[in-house]
Amino acid sequence: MATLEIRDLYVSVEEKMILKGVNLTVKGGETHAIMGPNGTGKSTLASVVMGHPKYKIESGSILLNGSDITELAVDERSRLGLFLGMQAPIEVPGVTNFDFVKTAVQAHMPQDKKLRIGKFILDFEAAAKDLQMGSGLAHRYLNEGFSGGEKKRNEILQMKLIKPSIAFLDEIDSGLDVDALRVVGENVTKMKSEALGMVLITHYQRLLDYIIPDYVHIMIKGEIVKTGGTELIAKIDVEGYDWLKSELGITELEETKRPVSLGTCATKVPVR
Amino acid sequence: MKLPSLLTEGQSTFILDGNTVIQNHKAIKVVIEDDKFRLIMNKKINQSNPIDIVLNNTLLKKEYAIEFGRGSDLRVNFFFVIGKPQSTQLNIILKAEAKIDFNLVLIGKIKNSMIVDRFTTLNENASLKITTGYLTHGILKVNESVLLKGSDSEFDGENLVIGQNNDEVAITQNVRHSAKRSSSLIHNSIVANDASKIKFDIYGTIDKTMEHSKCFQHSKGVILGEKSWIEVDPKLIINEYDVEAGHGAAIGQINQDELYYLSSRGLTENHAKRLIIQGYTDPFITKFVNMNHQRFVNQLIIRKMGGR
Repeated sequence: MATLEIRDLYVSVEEKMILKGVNLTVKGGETHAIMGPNGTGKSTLASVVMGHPKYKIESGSILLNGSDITELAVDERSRLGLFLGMQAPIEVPGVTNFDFVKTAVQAHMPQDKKLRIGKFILDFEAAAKDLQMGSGLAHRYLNEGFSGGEKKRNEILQMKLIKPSIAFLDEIDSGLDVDALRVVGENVTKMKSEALGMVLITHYQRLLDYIIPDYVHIMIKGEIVKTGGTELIAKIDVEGYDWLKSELGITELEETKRPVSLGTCATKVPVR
Repeated sequence: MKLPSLLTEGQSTFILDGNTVIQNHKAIKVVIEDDKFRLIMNKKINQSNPIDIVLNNTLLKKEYAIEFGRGSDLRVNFFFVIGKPQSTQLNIILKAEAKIDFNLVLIGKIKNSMIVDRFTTLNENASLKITTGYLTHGILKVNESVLLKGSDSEFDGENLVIGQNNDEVAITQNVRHSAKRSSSLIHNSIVANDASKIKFDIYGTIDKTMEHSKCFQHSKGVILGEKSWIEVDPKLIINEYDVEAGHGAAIGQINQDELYYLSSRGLTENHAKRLIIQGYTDPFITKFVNMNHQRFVNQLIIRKMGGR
């Protein structure tokens, strides 16, 4: 059973602090939902865990099964079991979906093992069928010309075949119509097991009607400010986030806190 | 140049070496004139498989013409082995209603430099889908002219250029719409390795009164070598109002977003880069139905990529 621990994580991009001390632990078998207003750092958190080179970790750590992965490259993190279903999956012209997924699955296998192509084809077809994707999917170029919904379903298809141990799904519900949302929701729910810990990033209750989370976290201004159960989802759906901002005394004009390292044994002191 | 066995082992492959027909094909009628070699293919021929043609050791000041008769519906694989001369001319003519799927590969080592003049003419309702792979080594200059002469004619041209070492490839594409409702689409894929230099000048012209015509040009290129460069200069000359036209070019180093996406699925950086480059080359390779041809073209591409 995998465990991801994010400890006191401060992250900046282009000199601007985005994450300001995020703490989160995700274990296999758990489903977490992160909600929050736009621009609060939800997607940044997912990208940083995956190792996107754009973001700079100022301090804090990300541990996967007890080992710090902050220095690892993106592909190494993936091969250790991390997965990120992206908000805006990238198009790669000329590379067929089938070739890409096959290569990705092969990359996750031990070096001395070879992919059994016949079995892989059957698995690919079954996953595509479960997600109600068109029959020509295998031979289409990766995400090129895909509708918004097809791209999101293709992310789930990859997740089904790669079988990660910790998966972040970043706004996997955006671009999906009601039926597609149900299909994606059912497929993700079927994947729930002790072998998979999940973090769902979303704005809406509708996704969480299909994939019931164990924990709901509210993120505002780069921090997880509240953690609870599904009761939080309903409250946010009705009342938005203003009640929480008032409760916690968060103002829109609050200035960005920046940590500074004072040496190896230093404590973090927020400064401007 | 000695022909690779993968090209010649097909018993039905038409092989022309200089001015000598080495192997004939039932679908091709050969007409030899003073300065011209004409290969004529007509509708009457019942030909479901692609016609394979190999042209080796082209002669100086000789014009090689491939003519498709009215209403012909054929697929052609044409392997053009560049020989010693410094210039050659290749003409493709489609009579009315001809519908042709054409794969053209230019291969071979160019001694000094080589100029290839290409003229393509499409008559009424003719449709040509042509994919060209420029896989030669050395300095190559290509002047390509496409004349959409007949109304409702369609030209769809895809080109793949791979530069390696000190290769220099300069291609001028001139597409002229001289008929109503004619359409053209050019798509160039360019890979520049090492210190290679690749230049495209693309002109799309729609003549006055040729309304409802469509003229589009797209180019994408990836620069892999520190000393390599790619230059694409698209131009549209539109002399009629009621038409559609557009051009676009995306040239640069490997796209970092693509690299991140592929890496996030466990592919190492090198593997991801290889896959992205395959995105340029694979669509060309898969145009060939014959597995031997696919293997041959794939080997050429691997060699052009320096074994990468």
